[in-house]
Amino acid sequence: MQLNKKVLVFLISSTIFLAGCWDRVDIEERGFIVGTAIDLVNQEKENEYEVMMTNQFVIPSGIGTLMQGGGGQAFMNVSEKGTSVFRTNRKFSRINSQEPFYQHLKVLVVSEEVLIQPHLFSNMMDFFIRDHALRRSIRLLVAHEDAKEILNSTPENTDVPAMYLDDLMENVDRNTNTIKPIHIGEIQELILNQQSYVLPVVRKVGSMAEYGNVVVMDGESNQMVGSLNEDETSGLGFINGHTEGGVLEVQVDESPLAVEITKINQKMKITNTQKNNVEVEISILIDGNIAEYFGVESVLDEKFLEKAEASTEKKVKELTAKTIKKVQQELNTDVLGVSKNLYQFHYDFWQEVKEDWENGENYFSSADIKINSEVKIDRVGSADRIKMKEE
Amino acid sequence: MGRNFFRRRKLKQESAEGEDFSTEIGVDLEKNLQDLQTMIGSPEDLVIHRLNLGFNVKAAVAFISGLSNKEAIHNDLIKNLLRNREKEAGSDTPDELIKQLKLDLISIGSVEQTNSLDKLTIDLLSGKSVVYVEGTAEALLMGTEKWETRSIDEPISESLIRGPREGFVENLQTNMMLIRRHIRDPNLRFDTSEVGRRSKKKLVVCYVDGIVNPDMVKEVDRRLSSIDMDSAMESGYIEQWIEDSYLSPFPQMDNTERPDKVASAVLQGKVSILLDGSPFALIAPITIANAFKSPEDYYDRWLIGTFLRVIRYIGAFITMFLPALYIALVSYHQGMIPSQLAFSIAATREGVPFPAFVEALIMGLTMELLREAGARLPRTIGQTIGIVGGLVIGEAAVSAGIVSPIMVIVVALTAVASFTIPLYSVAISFRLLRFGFMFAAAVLGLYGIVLVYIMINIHIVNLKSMGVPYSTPFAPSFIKDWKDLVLRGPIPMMNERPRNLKPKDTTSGNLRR
Repeated sequence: MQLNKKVLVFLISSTIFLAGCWDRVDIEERGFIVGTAIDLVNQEKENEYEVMMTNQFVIPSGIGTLMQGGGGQAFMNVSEKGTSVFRTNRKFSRINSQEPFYQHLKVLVVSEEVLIQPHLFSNMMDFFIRDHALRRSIRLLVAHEDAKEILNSTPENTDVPAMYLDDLMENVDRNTNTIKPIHIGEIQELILNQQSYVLPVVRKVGSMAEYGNVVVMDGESNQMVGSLNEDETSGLGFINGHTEGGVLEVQVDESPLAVEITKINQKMKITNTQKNNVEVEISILIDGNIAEYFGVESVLDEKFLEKAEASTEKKVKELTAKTIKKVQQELNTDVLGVSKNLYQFHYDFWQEVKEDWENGENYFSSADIKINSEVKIDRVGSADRIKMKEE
Repeated sequence: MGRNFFRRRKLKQESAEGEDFSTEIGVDLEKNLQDLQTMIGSPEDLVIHRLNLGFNVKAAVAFISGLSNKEAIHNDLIKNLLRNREKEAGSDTPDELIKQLKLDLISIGSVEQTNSLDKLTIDLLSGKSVVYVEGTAEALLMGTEKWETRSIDEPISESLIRGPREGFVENLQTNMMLIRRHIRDPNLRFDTSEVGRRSKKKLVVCYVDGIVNPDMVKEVDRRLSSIDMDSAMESGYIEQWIEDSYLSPFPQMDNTERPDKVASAVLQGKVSILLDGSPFALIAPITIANAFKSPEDYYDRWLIGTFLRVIRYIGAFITMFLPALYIALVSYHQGMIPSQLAFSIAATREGVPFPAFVEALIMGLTMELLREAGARLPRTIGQTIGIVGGLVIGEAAVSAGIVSPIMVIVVALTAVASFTIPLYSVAISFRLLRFGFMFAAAVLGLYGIVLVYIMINIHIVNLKSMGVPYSTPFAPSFIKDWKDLVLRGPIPMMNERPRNLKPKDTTSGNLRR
């Protein structure tokens, strides 16, 4: 009995040596993928597409170490073609000795061509959501042209384009047409809810990339139905809070004035729930500072501030009106969040109309959306005026 | 297993020592002196001074020259014996005479009468002087011990920025004096016993009667009485004999050179064991929290004390986990490292020929080698070792591409963190356990680290020190003791003795008075 116990202990402890180490890959043998681009090559059959995946691998020695700066290129882009994302990814191992490692994947750039095909986008997303090694915080971008070109944008102050794109998306509170970055986790949610949504756009400008504006995705077919320009994106940002801040240029007594937005709050209220006459009231509360003023009035004057606030309110209404017109008349997709509000606060009514909200009877297009904007200017800057009135 | 071990030790204890000579003192002076010489092998330092007490009553004084106070023997013993020989030695029998000598003549503090040769020999060898008188089977033992000792110095192994600069020395009497000077309570007890078959060293159990839990003292006594060995060179021998588990990596007794630490421990209701010839006093029981306590925590203000303790807890975790975490993250969980850092680690590791575990093992062993080399060498050379090791080996290993610079940071941080733990013996066990964590991390990654951590926690929860659970007051929880655990509360608020020791007297002060 005593002997048996010893043997047992020996056997159990020897399992440590028998098993283990099975996932061990040292850090220098990993090929860190930081960015992936998906482009459409061609449509083979109905519902079968050949796509091109471009993975951006980091070259650590190019980035440099804690001790010394790097030299040479810090990244390499490798492309492969295939129909399934997973298999295509596996193909990378045929040309790259390092094991592809997705846990540091930062950005996914999808070309517009992929988005236009019905359901292709959600099929492509399946791998990125399903695979255990991938994080839900991967940020998604849309390129109007070739997505893989975006992964070549290298301003001189950065080493790795994907990291640069990732950092670029942090600057969302500077401009009204840059929306908060959207990540894979949210996309799964949106696809499952069959909700229409917008995706941020990136475009290549010289060696740099420019972040701004959105494309509109239809919830049901999961395909892109159109894109919004700068003004329309700004308006959308005010309506559903995608934007965190930015600058509005307005005219006060024919002198240009730039208002820096510090805070945006919005509230949506559905005042009438009749199928053909849904009334929506959106109040937008904006706090701002005077950032730049070309005129000669005293900005400390109460009346001037009232005028400035009124013209900013008007500007907000203009921008949002453009957006509403576009999504209601042209695109027929509810990216404003009205359906979400109905679902949350008028569930019974939503059950009645949900089939005909964006399609069929198209109640969304006939909805009456009113915007109330209220702007408050808190600060006027460090100086009252720079030039005197001309007598 | 441990229990059987103790039982075996106990059985051996009572075995007779074979000897040829009589163990009693006889009436014949010359025969007695000869017995004594035979017994200890007539060494050179044995001094026998024969003298005449008058009326032809012969006597002899014997002592070991290096261990006794010769001045006192001459002035207070021999002079008195010779001066009074005319007066006193009348028609008394030798038995009465020796009583007379003891009561009236000898002006030495401690005088004992004995007829046992065994006791006489041992006392002689511990520095007492013996007076034999012809015709009586009794001898007198005079407390004339005096030998060269080290002066009281600042304890080297536990130096503090603020606190008493006195440390224990090798002399038991001095050490007891040092404790008494901190506690002038009549209930302060020093229970003396002897240890070692051959060394017969004095061992003192120190506690405060009325505070300490009597069961604790009984348990300590029971364990001490089981000791059976030739000699205890150092209190470490005692510690290892009476500890609860000799398989545990954690010490179950505190050792200190600081009298103030012993004094505060016995005032809390603990027991301290002092051994003659050792400047290290043992304190029992201890818990894992003791590893992070330093007397200085109490000497500085509570905010500083708390801060230092928190630093030490962090230090302990760094010591145990950092190299293992490095291995786990670099070999398995690269996704958990922030991207920029991951790339830079990957860049530094490019060209390193070993996996992270071997790399960490090399550097860990190097660090231990340097530490050991520094500790063995004389202090002046020890510093050179630090410079040579730290700069040359570290720098050279990196430029040679054997290890990555990150590994050097990890090892250096681990080494520095391990030195923050005040209890040196615990610090060593932490460093030892670190290798276990590293191995687990190499085999199973973070999962392995978690498994080993659970194993160690199970062990700690099972471990006891003198019957007190090692994990108190965390678990079993004594919430009231928590004000002196990770946090160190303000002194006026610490008006209760640790509950986990179950002291007889629980309050040590009253805040509301």
